[in-house]
Amino acid sequence: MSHNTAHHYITKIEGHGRLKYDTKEGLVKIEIDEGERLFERLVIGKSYKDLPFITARICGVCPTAHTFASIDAIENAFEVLPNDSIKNLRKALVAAQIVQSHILHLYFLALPDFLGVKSGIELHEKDPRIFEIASSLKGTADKIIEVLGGRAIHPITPTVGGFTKTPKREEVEKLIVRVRGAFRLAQETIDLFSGFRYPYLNRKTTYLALAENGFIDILGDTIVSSNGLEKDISNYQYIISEKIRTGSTAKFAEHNKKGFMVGAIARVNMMELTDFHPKTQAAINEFKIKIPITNSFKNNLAQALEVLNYLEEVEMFLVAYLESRSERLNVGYQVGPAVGVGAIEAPRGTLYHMYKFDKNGLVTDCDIVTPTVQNLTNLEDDANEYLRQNKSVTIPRRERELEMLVRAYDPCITCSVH
Amino acid sequence: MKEIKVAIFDLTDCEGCELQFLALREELAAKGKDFQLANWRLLSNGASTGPFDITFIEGSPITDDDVVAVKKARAASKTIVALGSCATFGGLQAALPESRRALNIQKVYGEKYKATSRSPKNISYYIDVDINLPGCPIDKNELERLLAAVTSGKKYKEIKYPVCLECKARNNTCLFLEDGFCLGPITKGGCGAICPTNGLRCYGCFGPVEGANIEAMENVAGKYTDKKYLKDNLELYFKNAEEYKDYITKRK
Repeated sequence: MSHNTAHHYITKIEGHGRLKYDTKEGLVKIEIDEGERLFERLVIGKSYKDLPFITARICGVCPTAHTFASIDAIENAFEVLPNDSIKNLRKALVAAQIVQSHILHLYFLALPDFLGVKSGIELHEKDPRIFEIASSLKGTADKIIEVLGGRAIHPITPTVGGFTKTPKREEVEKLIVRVRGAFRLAQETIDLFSGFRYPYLNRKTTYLALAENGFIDILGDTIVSSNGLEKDISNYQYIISEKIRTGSTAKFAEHNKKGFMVGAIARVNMMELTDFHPKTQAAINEFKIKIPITNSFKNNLAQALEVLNYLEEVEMFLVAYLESRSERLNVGYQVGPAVGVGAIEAPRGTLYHMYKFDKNGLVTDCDIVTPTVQNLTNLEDDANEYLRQNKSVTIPRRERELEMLVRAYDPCITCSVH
Repeated sequence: MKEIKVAIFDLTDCEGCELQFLALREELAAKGKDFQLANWRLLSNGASTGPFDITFIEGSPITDDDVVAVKKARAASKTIVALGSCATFGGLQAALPESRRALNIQKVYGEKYKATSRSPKNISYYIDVDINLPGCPIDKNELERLLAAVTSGKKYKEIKYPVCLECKARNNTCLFLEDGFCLGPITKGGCGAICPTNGLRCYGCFGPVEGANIEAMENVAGKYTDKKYLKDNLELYFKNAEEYKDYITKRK
């Protein structure tokens, strides 16, 4: 590889992305060249009923996130009010989606960088104990989504107004036992990722996430920022603007004309210690994890914290579901001309779906803003700041660490070109 | 299974089928039944360029790089498997009309934007495919059945019965009767009727079953369901399938 020309592909990220690093100018540019799939056009003229099914297919890594962002937008358009039983199941599923995706990223995509293993698929030969933790945690996350959603990838049961089918009490009870059994492995994950030496980077940015009643909430109705912004999700287009760039099939988002960050670091940085669930609080203290995190390489550490925190959240909502369990799987609603914005916290950050409907509930307009698109500008800014702060680092190491930085962001290229 | 060299390539898609593959591989590894993965971009740096005994290709070729990749994969592989419905039929993204692609790209990216890709196609449009394993996503049991066959040198037998057969075997209430429409009767089985079992009608993601009577489906479902809605749903996965294209040509 020549260090003067600067084209090389990055592997181990979901989809096709490229980091262009010009050593002469010392500038890094991200280019995304996944082919355009045009989901926003594909849904035009389609019935609202089919939107959760279709838009889930934007991403096989976070389909549950797209399913619920879609349902949220439709329900906000038609003013559907789900009961507590439905809400509890949904929150458990969205939390499980974060755990599922984080585990995949941490153990199969990011860990090889730290362990010096060639790839995630070699892990079970090189380090069987870690493979066992990875496999068991992934199995648990898959199982939660399978039991509640009908299938681990592309869930089946979530629908507008509720669920097509809900699990039996015994199934949920068994699931709670399995989730509790996974807490220890999630603690080991935090132990593992708090012990690594991360490359140096120190840069503050603006963080955005969803909240409800002042607390970070994965199904919240308010966009909050670290600069004190607090707006209903229906205003998202005024808060986030997408820029189109030649040479990139993914758009680049800005907030107040600058890059900003969503996802694990953003959520963790905007939470007080007491906002975390008890076991996660204890782990933050035990492993002396400093929050706020201003080094984006440590997004992996923030994800490890979230694995435990959202497993605790799954437990909480499953217990609440059993207490609130209602025979009604669905609530009624009326279809008519309307606009709806939906937003949820996907593993990589806030995900927005917006639809306009005609009187028959057919889509006339659609806009989808994914977390990766929101993070791309910030990722580029971080990469350039990394170069400024690490001038004495050798060029091969700089290139390797820049790749690690991209990987730390866990970009979902598939989602970003939807 | 260790001696068999397996490769996985992904083109433009959601990567859900790869993740089904990963989940199955973990289950098999736990049982001590592993196989050598020579190339898997999602999970590996510096992968092998072949030759491979069996190559799974996921996604539909959209970019020039995608087209080069499938041709290289063909040259380096004994057996090519189209993994999932994007590879087999072009996937959901192929449901958009090719003639309106330029316009649709303009609507999303603006007038100045230069598109880098072409209309999504099934991989058999570019290369010979030995086995099609459809599904959105693929079914893990069906993938295991395929792996068991090819790794023991046997012929993988494609399923020739519709989803309804599996649905009946699971004692489900018929959603065609309940919702007035379900694609189960004309859709290839192999999914274990997982959607109807979970209360969702069949969307036809495995594509048409051999001998699918699409005309009868349109006649019967058309009595209860809006014609445009029915067509939209048929074309979501069937649009590029031979059976559907033949049906449309004959109807004209």
